[in-house]
Amino acid sequence: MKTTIEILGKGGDGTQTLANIIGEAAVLEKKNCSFYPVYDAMVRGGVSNSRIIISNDEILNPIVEIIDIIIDLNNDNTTLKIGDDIKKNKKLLGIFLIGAVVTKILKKESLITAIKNNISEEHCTQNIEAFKAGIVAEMDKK
Amino acid sequence: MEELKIDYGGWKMINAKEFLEKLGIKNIKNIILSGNEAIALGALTAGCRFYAGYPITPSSEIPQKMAEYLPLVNGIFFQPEDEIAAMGMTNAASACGIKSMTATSGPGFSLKQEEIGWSINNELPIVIVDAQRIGPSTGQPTKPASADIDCIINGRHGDGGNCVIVLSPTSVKECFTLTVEAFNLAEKFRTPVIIALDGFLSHHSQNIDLPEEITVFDRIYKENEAPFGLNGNIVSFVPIGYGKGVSYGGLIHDECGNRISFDAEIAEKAISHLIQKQKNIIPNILREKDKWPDMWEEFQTDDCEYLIVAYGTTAKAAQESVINLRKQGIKIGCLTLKILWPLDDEIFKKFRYLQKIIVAELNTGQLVKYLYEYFPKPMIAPFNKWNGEPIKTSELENFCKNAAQEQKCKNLAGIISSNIVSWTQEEPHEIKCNSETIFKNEIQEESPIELKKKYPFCPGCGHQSFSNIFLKVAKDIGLTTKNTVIIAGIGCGGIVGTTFKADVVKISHGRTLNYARAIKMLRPDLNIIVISGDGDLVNIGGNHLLHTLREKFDIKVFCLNNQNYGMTGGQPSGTTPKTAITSINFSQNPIDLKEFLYDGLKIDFFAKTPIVGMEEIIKKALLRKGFSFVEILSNCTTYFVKKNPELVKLENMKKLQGVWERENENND
Repeated sequence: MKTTIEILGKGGDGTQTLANIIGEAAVLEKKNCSFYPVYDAMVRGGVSNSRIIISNDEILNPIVEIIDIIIDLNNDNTTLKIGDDIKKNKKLLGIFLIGAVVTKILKKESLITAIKNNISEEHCTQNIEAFKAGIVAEMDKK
Repeated sequence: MEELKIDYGGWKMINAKEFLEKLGIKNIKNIILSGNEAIALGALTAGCRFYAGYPITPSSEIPQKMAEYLPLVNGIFFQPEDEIAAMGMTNAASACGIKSMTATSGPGFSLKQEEIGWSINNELPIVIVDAQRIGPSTGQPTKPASADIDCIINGRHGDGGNCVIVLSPTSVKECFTLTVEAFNLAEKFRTPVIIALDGFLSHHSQNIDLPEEITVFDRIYKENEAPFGLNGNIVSFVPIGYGKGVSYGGLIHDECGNRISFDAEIAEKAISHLIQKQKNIIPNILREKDKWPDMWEEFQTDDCEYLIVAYGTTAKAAQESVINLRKQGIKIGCLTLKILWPLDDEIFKKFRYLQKIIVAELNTGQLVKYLYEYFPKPMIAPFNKWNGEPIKTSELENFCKNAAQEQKCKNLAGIISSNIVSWTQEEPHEIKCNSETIFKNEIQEESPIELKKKYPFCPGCGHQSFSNIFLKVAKDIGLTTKNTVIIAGIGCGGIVGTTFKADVVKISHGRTLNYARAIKMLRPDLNIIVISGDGDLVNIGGNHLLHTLREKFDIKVFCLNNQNYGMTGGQPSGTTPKTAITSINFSQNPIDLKEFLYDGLKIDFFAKTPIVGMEEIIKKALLRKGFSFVEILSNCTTYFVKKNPELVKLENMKKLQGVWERENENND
């Protein structure tokens, strides 16, 4: 079973951190991961995408050709409903979308552990809230 | 000072698990690492204890990790002012006997070439990582490629400039293992090893298992053996700083390290030695097969009719293509090259009678040029991509399918496309690891620094007088062959130091202070004395001078200011007065060193003196602790004095004499 994910965003959106989180969660579940950035030289505002492979088998070639899941952070108008608050935060949007989509291939618990490992304590609580809101939003859709 | 261990070196096992635990890496199984991180860990495990580097995308995580880990294992990390200084420091550390490394990317690699040439000439084991990106100049800094292969192999001037080993890892795990091998190859064959890192791998992260144990090779030192090889043999490595009287430099040298600037026979021998050694590398790796990992890897080649040759990340796409194409009935295999230079017929000879060789590269075709030596040209089909995107399996697969189809049609039409070439190659031989030449070590035991040989300076040259007086003072204050290293520059000023009986390092133009700083950091117990000229220190090495002053290095610098470039024919230097007549019609405003260094940059000790009355000043500079800069007003009697007698009148020069000193609380 092999899944490829592409996270699209701009410098500062947190696309590389999200890749780290997904990769780490996959390893916690004894799966293999491979991820690489595709980015511009601009530190802020330049293209910053990341391409991820999660696989049960050994990953022979890390280059992603066919993408199964796209997480797009480039839409500036997205608003998030986390609990009772309405937020417009790119970084939380990524985590929200992980909650909504990546939970289909990786376990909730391992993703939360990976979030805790990769995000500073200060921001961790609201990120986990966003993550959980993502799961709820996806379930509501059904 | 630690005594130099006799007859040390060779192969040994290292418990990587235990070592990495010391760095705080508790789990070596299933660890997520990027290529850059894996390289840093590989280097440290292999024994690298010195790193000097300048930040450049995409290699920047390597210095970050080295700066984090080196202090934990008593290593030294330094970020100097530029790539040239970084490379010089890496060389200097290796000359001290320490395993050293630097990392860079294309534009930085161009700058490092001069100093890599220096290490080739001195057979210094060093490791350089070049994380490649696309384009000439800045190109696209974040886009990966294998675009520096030709420059890595052939970028140095002069015959023998390509006597380096080039490795190319194909995965994150190989970033670790091949870095270990890079150090082993460097130490074993006494040569610079360059890791041609696919820029993609720098930032590619993957979960990998690191090896629990590794084998490493340490350079061998044997007493009384010549420190440089002959006929491609590898000999005893004599480090500086132990009073063995060894000399490293940029000039052609004989087996004992004596600088030879004229002898034709020795020049031929020295260059032939490097080239012969290079030819011997692969046959010797094959001879010691149990010691080395596979430097090339064959994938489904047993019955293949077609072959993809690939390296770097492209190799992974090639292997995947092979799997897919085999399913479609095409008998294809893949040869992954992990060593890109030197190449040898041993790697390719079994594939010479195949239908087609597809060479897949992430550049416009840089390695394929070297493969034409092993395969007839019509047999090779190069597949290249240079837009900053990695090669995809699908595109390589299609290309191979078309190439196979085309070849089939040609075969049906009876077109014979392969014309076998004749192979006339010199037989490589087993590298002997000893030298029959006895190292005529003029230093038997600790002794004062003396004149080794008299150099024929021009009559009246101030350098000659400086040499005499310096040696007298050095003897008086107790500078010995064991506690002193002389760093000499280039040109007339650089000659002075090389005539002394001591450990002497003679550097390329302007780079003296880089080596001085590195040696001081590694060996604080030594007296580091830089003797160099005005063109060296002020012009070409001006940037290094400026940055050396940012730290309080305990280095004594003697700038033999003869106000022009004497050895090249009397051109104006940074200290030539604007009104002076020189050999070319060009003048610039001069730099006043006292104003620049003492008034401007606030150094603690600056002295300026003509030859007359310099003894006391030299003594004062040598005896004090901290950075001292002494400007010696030396006369160039052949060029400057003849054309500008009124500018070098002794009574005027005497008026310039002075010592400026200040207490500085920042002094250690």
